[in-house]
Amino acid sequence: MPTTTAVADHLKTQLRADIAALAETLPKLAPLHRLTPENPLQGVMEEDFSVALAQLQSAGIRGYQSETQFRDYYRHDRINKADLAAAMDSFPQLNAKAALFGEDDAALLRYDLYHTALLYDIEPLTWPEFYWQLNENRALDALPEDLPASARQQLMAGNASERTICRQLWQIIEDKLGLTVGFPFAPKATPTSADNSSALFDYARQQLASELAAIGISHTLPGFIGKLTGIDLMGSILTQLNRICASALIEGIAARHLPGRSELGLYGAWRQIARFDADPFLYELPDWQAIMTALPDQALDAVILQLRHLEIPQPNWPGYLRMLALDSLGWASYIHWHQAGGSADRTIPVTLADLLAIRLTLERLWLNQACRETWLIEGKLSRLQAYFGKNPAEFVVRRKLFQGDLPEHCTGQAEILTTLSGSARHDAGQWQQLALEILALEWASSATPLLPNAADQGWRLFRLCQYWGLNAEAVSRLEPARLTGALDLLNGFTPQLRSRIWLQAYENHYRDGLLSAIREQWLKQRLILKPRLEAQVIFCVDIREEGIRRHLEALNPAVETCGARGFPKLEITAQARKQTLPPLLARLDLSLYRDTLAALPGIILSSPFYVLRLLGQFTAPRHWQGLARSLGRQGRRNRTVAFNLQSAISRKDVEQLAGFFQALGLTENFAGLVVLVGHRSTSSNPLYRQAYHCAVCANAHTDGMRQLAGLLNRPEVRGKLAEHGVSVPPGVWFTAVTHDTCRDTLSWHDSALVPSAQQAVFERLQQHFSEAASRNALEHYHQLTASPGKLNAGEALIHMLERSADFSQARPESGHAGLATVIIGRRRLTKAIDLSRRAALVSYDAVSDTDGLKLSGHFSALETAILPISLSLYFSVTSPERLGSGPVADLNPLGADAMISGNNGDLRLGLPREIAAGHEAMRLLVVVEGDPALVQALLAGHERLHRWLNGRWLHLIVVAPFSGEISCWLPGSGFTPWQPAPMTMPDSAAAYSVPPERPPLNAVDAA
Amino acid sequence: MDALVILIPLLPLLAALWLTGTVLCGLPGNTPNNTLSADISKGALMLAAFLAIALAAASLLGKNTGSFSVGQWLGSDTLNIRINYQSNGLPVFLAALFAVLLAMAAQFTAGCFLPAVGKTPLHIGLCLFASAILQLVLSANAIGTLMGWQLTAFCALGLTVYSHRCLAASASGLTIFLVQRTGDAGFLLGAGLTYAWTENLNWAHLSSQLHTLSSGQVTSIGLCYLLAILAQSAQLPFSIWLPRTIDSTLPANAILAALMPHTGIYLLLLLQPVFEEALLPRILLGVVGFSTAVYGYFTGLAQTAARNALAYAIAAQLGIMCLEASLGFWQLAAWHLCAHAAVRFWQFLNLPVLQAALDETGARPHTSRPTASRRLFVACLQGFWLDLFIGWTLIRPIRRLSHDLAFFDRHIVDQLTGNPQHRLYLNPVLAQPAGTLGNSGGLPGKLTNSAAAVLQWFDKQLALRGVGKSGIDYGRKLGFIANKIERLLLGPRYLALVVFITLLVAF
Repeated sequence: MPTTTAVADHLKTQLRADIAALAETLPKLAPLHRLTPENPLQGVMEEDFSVALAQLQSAGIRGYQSETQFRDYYRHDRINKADLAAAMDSFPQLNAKAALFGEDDAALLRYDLYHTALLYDIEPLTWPEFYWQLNENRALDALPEDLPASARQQLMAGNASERTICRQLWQIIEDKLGLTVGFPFAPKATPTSADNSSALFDYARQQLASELAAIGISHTLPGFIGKLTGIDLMGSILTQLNRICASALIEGIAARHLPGRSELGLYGAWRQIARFDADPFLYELPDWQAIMTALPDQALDAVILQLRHLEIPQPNWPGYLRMLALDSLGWASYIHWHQAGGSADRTIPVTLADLLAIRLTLERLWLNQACRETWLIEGKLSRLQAYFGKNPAEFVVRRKLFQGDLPEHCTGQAEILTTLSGSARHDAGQWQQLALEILALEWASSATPLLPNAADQGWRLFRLCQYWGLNAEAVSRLEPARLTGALDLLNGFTPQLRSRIWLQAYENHYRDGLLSAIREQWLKQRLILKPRLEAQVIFCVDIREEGIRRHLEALNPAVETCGARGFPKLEITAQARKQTLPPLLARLDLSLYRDTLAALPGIILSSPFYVLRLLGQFTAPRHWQGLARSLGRQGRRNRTVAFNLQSAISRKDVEQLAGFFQALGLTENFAGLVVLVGHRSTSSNPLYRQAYHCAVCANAHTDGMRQLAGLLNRPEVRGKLAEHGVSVPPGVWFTAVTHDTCRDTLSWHDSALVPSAQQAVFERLQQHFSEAASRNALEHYHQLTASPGKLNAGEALIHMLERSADFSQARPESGHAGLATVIIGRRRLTKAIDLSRRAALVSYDAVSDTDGLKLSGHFSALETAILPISLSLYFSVTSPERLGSGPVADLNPLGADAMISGNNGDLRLGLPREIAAGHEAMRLLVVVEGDPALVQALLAGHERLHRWLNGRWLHLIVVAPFSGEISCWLPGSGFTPWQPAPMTMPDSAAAYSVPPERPPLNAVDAA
Repeated sequence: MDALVILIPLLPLLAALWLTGTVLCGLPGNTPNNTLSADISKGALMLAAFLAIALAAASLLGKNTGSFSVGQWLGSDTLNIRINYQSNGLPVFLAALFAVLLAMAAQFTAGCFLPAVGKTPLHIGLCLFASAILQLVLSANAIGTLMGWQLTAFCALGLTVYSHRCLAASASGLTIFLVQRTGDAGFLLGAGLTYAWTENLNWAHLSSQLHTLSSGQVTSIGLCYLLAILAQSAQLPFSIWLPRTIDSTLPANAILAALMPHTGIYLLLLLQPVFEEALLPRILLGVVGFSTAVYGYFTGLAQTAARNALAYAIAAQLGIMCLEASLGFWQLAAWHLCAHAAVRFWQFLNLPVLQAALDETGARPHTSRPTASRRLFVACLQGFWLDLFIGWTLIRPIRRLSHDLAFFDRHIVDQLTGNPQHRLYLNPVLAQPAGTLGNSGGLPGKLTNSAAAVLQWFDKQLALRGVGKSGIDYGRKLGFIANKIERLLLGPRYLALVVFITLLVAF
């Protein structure tokens, strides 16, 4: 027989494993200043996309855009009927092509039913909504406004009035379904008697049992108590938890941190200070001293102690802990990042168990208070079970009251009972009487399959018939069984399934448009003779560079552009740290936050300067921005380590440089002029600046690019590069330019050093660059919804400059919001296609990469940088409250580490609303030019990417380099040939990428 | 130039009314292509700022007479309340500063939200707040200041709740409103005593008549106004409202936390002669100011969020201002007030600069000084439990008392009187059979039924069949009595009483 200690050890081991497994499902939230994108759902990506999203829905995380948004896309031809049909076909369980009313009646297919359910809101109504529709919205007097013209024509064919048509239709539906509601649509409670009252209370006890059994599965104990009392226990618990976590883990502003955090960890340090906290005393939390004294030393023991005390069934522990972590998702993710070794200078031993132990202890304290005050019982499962087992009437009244489902007259009485009587210990008769009334009402209106319900089945069928153009006569010919059969199908067509179909249809539409354009381009490019190259321009793969690349190529066909997966960071080039403020100013700004007494003279003396800053920012923002930038530059110059042109380059640096060119496929045939284009984003007051940061090249800095160009112009460096297969002829000149993606301005570096032989080409290139930047600004301007009116390219450029200088601007540029696809291949695949700043273009020569090593590098970048950005955008749009950061104006920075909303809240995970605005949530589409067999073989080496592909977290397309054949990755089956959708595409290659608000852009004709 | 002063609070008020009109009439507001509300609020506030600067310049050049009277608002016997404004000195300079900052807030508001977000209510709140705070600063008498004072509180409530992000914003808005209302009692009492003893409510008149008052009277007036000053300037124990402003959106937070509490200090500067004469209020002011500075300093030490740190830093500096005034450094307090408002406003709108500053100074991880004691740290972290303490000492007992009274009402009083509300809830009006409407139990119910029957008879006999001669005679006599009562009520003391009772009830 195992000893007690052995059982305890086993339990701890089990719990440790459960918490470790839980941690794996959490995202990792790195401090914001690190500027590294983290995949918000990395933990759940082992599951299939739709399965994971269905699981997350229980935690309040929405995985798809709203149907309203998808319908908007449909109205703007971003999704069409054929896309929806194709998406439905990919769900065999729908059997969409079958006849709706049986084989003998093929007039309507199941497809029609689903299509109508997708396009129109025919959700079941609650009783109050149903009454409102009939009595206030006059649903029986007029046809719906959004009725298709054909349906309206069909219904109105008999010259009857709309009122007659609707009433006759409703009447026939009532008859067919056997509805007994009738006019005037008032709820009728089933009369209660002694016999059925016991049945009703048995029904209530069943509900209670199911609610209690779901603790740890779908809700927590505070959630259960909240449902019955309306008390916001979570608010009280999380306020304390947030405060403790911030004090222990957030650096920057606070001068005092949780004492002992480095030695004792989060839980241990909190335990030390908790005994001095007057909160429990002032809140009058029962037994708080005993509870705090009994806390064990180890967090894991505390978790076990509290879970046992709360009497959470042991099998439900993992689920319960998961829900607790999801309640504080921000902190849990932040701790997970720390625990996973994200912080190199980590001095605070913090674990997820610490967070859970504190949370459970606070939960116990607050549950005790709520239960004692309301029912005079202890806050644990068995006591609640016993109490409500004896008083089911109170359970019924409270549950319905705080769900907000009660009719008005019952609500008033229920409020009186809950506030004045408090519990069923007082006025038991009144509780019972009201509970019986509520139960009888619920019984009468319950949507059980056996009892057809007017607000559910009746209403949905009524609307369906209207949208199909079926009048009363047509419906009268249908058997009731067929109608109820259709309703059953509709019930099976859940919102989750509809969202999956919408998303797939949207993605397919985009994919087919893009691939059609690529195929057309592939065929066309074969016939075009390449002009002699004047210059090669190397950009970052950031989507914000796609526009300027396209315009530059259109302006000068003798220019070839490449997309580099980051620029080499060499030991020899001393990268200056990014600086936005002179150091003195930074110290002054910071001191005013921290030292109150010392700030007094600072405030009085510096106030004229701050007033001047404010006036400058408001009255002459562009000039002020210029002044601030020049001050910043001055400071940077002082701190930049001088680049020594004479120092010898290391072997490692040479290898890096060679790898850079090899990844681009640029090892020979250099043009006379090669331009390295770095990029940055300048805005005056970006609260969330990492959103404009490039995760791929880390915004290759001005000085770094300049030094890189200088290095590549050195003959000995070229000599060493030649040893690695990169042959740069002596006549080639490297130069650097920085593109400001917000302002669309260009800063050329060391223009004076360009040799005279290249001067003419260089000057022409500069002109073309300027023109391309203006055109790019115009496109950018169109993407920003706030942009007023119609401007020309020059005016758009000025608008972007003003936008960048406007320090109140929450969305100075579109950032990565447009990200939809990554195209890894030669530029010839996409050269003349308007990708509307939605594509990251990675240069890759599949012909020379026979072993797939270069492609493997691109896959790694995809995994670590581009996919996290894409998913972060996706979920910031679909679930802005849980996985986004909300409005920028609500954010409150926690130092430079994190953000909260308002006064005291959980850490915000994703992107703010303004930054994610304009993103159309879709899974990343990766197009690779390469041999399908090679790509498949490479995926075996990239296990995560392979799993994610099979889990449908992204899509992969391969374009064969020689044949141009296109294949799509089918999860579980590998590559299958892509067939263009058999539909008439109303939108050209350009239209698929045009947002609804924006007019289509003309495709660029490179030829 | 004096006449310009009237336009300074009037322009934002007109803008607020215009915007309200556009909302009520359903005119297009702030759609992606229509920035009407932003343009109107920006335009009005910029014009007000320009006028305020012009007035301040005229004041510096000695072109103003010092006050401007629009006309009489209320007059009866010796009571003469005029709408008059100050056009010289600190009020004008402070109004110029506030107007400039508010114009900037309006411009910031225009840019910091997505165009699709309905910003018109925010702009209305902003214009109304601007009008109120400028009225408060420029008014030359207590009634005008009180009007601005009250309106700023309403606007604070609206601007905080505008965020409607969560229940916390609503609760915070209500806390700000209620805590500041505590000061109203002091302000009203102070104004009442001032009128009772000097028969005038002008600030200048109060200063000039102080020598006619006894020290007890001056101390009484000072203590009353002190309560108002402490509540408005977030001094202990009223400091709890200042961090609650963080739940509002950023531009609203900037004006509520960086401008609004300074109006309390402004009132203190306005009443400088009173506090110079009254020792007790001055000592109290110093003690409370010092305590607030210490409280703000220590609480600020444990704050990890930028806006929270700013809120407590503001509280500490406001405490120092009170201390300066208490020690007689009035000029320093005035400079401190203006400088502090500007700097804190800038800091709120430039939060990202903090992140940049942290990067630049390499202050991460911030080298934390060793904590003196765990007890002190917990106190700092929990803001010395000020919220809870107030809740524990005031709110919780009152809530329990109200619960007990409600219980008594329901179980004792309602049973005796027939419990009409209970019946109403159990039997919804529409569900009752015809003819039983208004059939209530208990003595009051029966009395009501009888009264209704009498009135119905009266209606039938008199109103429907025509008015007889006796009815006209009775009506004439009733009119005579009513006129007598009206004459009595229009006496100055009764009128003043009615005005103050009305204001008390209203606010």
